[in-house]
Amino acid sequence: MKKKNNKSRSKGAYTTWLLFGTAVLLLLGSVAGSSQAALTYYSENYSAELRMFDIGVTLMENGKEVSWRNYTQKDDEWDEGGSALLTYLLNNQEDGKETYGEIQPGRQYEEELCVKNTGNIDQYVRVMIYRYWVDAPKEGEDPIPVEEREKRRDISPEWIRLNPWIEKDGMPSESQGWVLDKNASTKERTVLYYTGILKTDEVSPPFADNLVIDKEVAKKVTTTETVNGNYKTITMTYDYDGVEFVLEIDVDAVQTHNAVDAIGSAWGVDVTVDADGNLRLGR
Amino acid sequence: MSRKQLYRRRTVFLAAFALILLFGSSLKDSLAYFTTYTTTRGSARLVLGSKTEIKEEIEGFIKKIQIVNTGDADCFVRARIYAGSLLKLTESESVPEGGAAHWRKDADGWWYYESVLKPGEATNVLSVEIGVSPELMGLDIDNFNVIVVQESTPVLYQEDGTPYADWNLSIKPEESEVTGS
Repeated sequence: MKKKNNKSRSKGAYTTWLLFGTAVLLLLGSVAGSSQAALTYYSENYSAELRMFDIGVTLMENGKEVSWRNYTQKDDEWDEGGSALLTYLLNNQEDGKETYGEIQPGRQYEEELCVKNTGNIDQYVRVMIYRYWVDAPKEGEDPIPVEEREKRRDISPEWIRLNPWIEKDGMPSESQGWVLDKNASTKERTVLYYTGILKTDEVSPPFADNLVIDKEVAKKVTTTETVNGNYKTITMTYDYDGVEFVLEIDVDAVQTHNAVDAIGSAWGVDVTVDADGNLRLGR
Repeated sequence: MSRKQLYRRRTVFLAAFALILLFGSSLKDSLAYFTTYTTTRGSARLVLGSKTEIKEEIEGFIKKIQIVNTGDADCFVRARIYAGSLLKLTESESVPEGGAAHWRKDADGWWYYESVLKPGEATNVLSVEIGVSPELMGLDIDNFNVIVVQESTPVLYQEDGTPYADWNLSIKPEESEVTGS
């Protein structure tokens, strides 16, 4: 009886190690397959051009590159950089005279925004535009970066009118190949998808062309009355004098190969792609 | 738990672990899509407030009015002069040598300064000559008032960049009073 038990136990252990060994062999086999393929490739007697697939995207403002992030063909190293939006726009008013970063309500400022494919693979792109107001630093206060300042939620983001995405004029659902994602957009955020494929070095049609601060912002005033001898002064103070508006833009790019799954995985949205490569939101 | 059961469990565990390792090694590749992104922002200050002051001199029966932009933003200004009906007011602009005329009297009774007044700048002089009528001389009064009211409004722009004033947005009406005798 004891002998039978020992035999059964050794059979169980044998099965265990056999299965484990098989699994390890399978695992090593999958790695060995790749190595073998690589060796076969290099053992050929003719030369082959080895091309790396690099993705890169750049935001253009009035024809100039303002922000980019391009893969550099090295392990997880990216060439990224740029400058702030609106800087040269504000410094080139009135025959090059500096305007000290101030903007006048109602005035139309050129703000042509495009996306350029600066990688070497085709891509789909989307942009997220954020518009909001923050308090300006007070006199004598150390400058605080815009992103660290408190948002002024009492001032409507709609007064930052980035044409053509203006609620007041009837927000379009698409413009020049850019389609609005209504479900993801809010008063502060506008999400746009470029429906075509953006090829290497290609610049998209502009998703915006000018910027206007709505004159409504100048209509909120507080009135105070003071009497000083023979003078009576009624002072109306503009509530929003000195506030700063912020325009923030995120650009996302993704490969066109296996686009539906890639976009679903990278951006978390459902899309369909037709035979010509045109993107449509939703399944 | 019997030893046999223990072996059986270990067998299943090791087999499952091996399968996870096997599929896990190929999982990373299938999730690696080419993606990138870039972000930037910019901001600009909104300038609305303008400050103006009346600067005036009185020479006999002539009141010389100027409005000075004491704020840090461009503005438009206008002025209006009030007096009793027995006083005859003659208003005119004194244009500096080599300068241009900017004051224009509108049908609404206001004098509009048609040039943008930049910070620190003053308007051309608007002179008001006060004429005392014989009826007033015959009355037993010892003083009279000439009141100047001025308003300013920030410069607004048409979309093509043309500056204009919206007087419904005017700020700081200021009155100055002169008493004569």
